[in-house]
Amino acid sequence: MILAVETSCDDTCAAVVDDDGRIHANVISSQGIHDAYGGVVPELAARAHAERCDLVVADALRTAGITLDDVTRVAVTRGPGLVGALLVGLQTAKAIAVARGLPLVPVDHLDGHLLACTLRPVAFEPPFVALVASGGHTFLSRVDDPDRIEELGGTLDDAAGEAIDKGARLLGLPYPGGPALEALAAEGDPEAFAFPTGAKVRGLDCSFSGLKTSLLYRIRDLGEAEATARRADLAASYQRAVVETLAVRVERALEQTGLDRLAVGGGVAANGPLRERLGALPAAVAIPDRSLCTDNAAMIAAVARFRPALAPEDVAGLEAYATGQRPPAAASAR
Amino acid sequence: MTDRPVVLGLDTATPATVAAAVAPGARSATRIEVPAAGERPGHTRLLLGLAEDALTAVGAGWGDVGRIVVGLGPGTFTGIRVGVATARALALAHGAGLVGIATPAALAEAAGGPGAPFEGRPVLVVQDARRRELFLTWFPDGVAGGAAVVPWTVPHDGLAAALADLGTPPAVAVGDGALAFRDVLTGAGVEVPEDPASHAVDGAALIRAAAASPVGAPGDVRPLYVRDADAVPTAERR
Ligand SMILES: Nc1ncnc2c1ncn2[C@@H]1O[C@H](COP(=O)(O)OP(=O)(O)O)[C@@H](O)[C@H]1O
Repeated sequence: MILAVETSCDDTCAAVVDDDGRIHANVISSQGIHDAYGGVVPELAARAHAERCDLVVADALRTAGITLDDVTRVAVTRGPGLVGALLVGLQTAKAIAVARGLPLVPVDHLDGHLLACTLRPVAFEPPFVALVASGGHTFLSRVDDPDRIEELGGTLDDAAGEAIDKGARLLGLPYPGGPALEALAAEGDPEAFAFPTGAKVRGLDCSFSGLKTSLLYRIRDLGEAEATARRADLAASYQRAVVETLAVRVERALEQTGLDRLAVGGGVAANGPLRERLGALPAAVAIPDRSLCTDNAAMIAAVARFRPALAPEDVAGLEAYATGQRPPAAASAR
Repeated sequence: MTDRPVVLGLDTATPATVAAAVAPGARSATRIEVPAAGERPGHTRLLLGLAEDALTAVGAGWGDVGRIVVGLGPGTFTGIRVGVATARALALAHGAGLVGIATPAALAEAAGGPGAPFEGRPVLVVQDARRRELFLTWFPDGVAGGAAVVPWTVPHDGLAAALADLGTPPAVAVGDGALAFRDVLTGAGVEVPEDPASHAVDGAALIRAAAASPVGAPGDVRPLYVRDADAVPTAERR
């Protein structure tokens, strides 16, 4: 049994997964304190992790109906993420591994999003193209094997979820904007306004900053009264542009790699129109349950099945890496 | 608990990484790593290794630990979280009892606890709080007073006024802030020990300072931040 811990952002997560990829517990303790701040406050996130990380681990063991005696490996997110937040989970996992003499497997958070779909019951097997779109990350990778992952493209500016949240804010919706924007968009016409999708920009990278600016100008041009009256149309058209921006790159990636299998992960995968659009592609499409798309520890255990444990003498000294400090070793392992 | 007689102490509130183990028969081992000038604290990298060293030195293993004492701060936010998260997970790993104690209580214990040079006298702990401030913790009746330890912050240039406000003058001041503001303190008649070790957290003193503290629920063992996080809700901005 693998016990996994993930605290890279604002969810305190622990999971128990067996070596066949069956999930026995996937506990996600959402902090619910950041919404009032319009985004994650790193210090508050770290504080909340420190108050509950061990309790969440105990909860995962209880839910799985096991004790630490049944655990054979400990897995933990090493990065990238908020370093103060990461350290809480890292110390928790290290302490359990050291004190119990268990192997520790450090895992890259982004690999977790890429391989979440390998867990049962989806059990989607490589090779596949994977799209990960969340509040913090947006990228496309080619997964030939759990150990052979190549990044195909990323975002030049904002992540897709960030673009959604910023657009939602411009439309006066609360943070996080995803679900509210989707609900409002359902009442609008996605063809009402033409927002840029960069369809003519070649390659597999996306960019969302122009889209956001374009919404801002459109609202300004319409004037307050008209913009308010047409909020649903604006939301629907904006959402359509985000979905198209992603879908066009996914289509190209499938074509370029010759693969006909697609996995989708990250919080934006909850979006109905995106699921519909990608589901209509001529490919086998795997989108795991929402609890496996947003941050979770089961996906960290999923990766640990395929990664070596640290040498025992290296466990106590293991350090985290923040966003932007990903060591070459982690990048080349992908 | 007699089958698990070893007590482990951990503190990461100051730049030093501190671990100590005490076993029956007065066997004890303390480990401390202080970062070199200009270097960052090595709490994450060092804490578990030092703890394991200390345990080995008293002939014990992780499974022999029945009680874990952790310094709660104040100190750097990240530092105290590393200590608390580690201690709580270690307690979970083998079902050991967990006790959290304010870090200044360990400094005060070493200066004014039983058998210490200032036994029974009033102790002021002065810690560097960065941002041109100090954390002060006041033990007016000595460490045996049992009064709740409530650290507070004063700006650097407010130390003299804070001393005057105490009522009773401290006999001694310890902590890295006491070293840095030796002149202000000695000018007010407060003794500041020469020995640098008096101003560093001693793991064995941490364990002694918590000797009478009951084991708490792990969820109640939380960092002592003293300061709020800098964050303003959207609704209160501009
Ligand atoms: N139904 C939805 N439609 C579009 N975006 C969504 C939806 N639900 C959530 N999101 C977006 O997903 C992001 C959160 O995803 P998550 O994986 O938790 O990201 P992170 O942890 O990187 O912030 C947010 O930006 C949110 O607005």
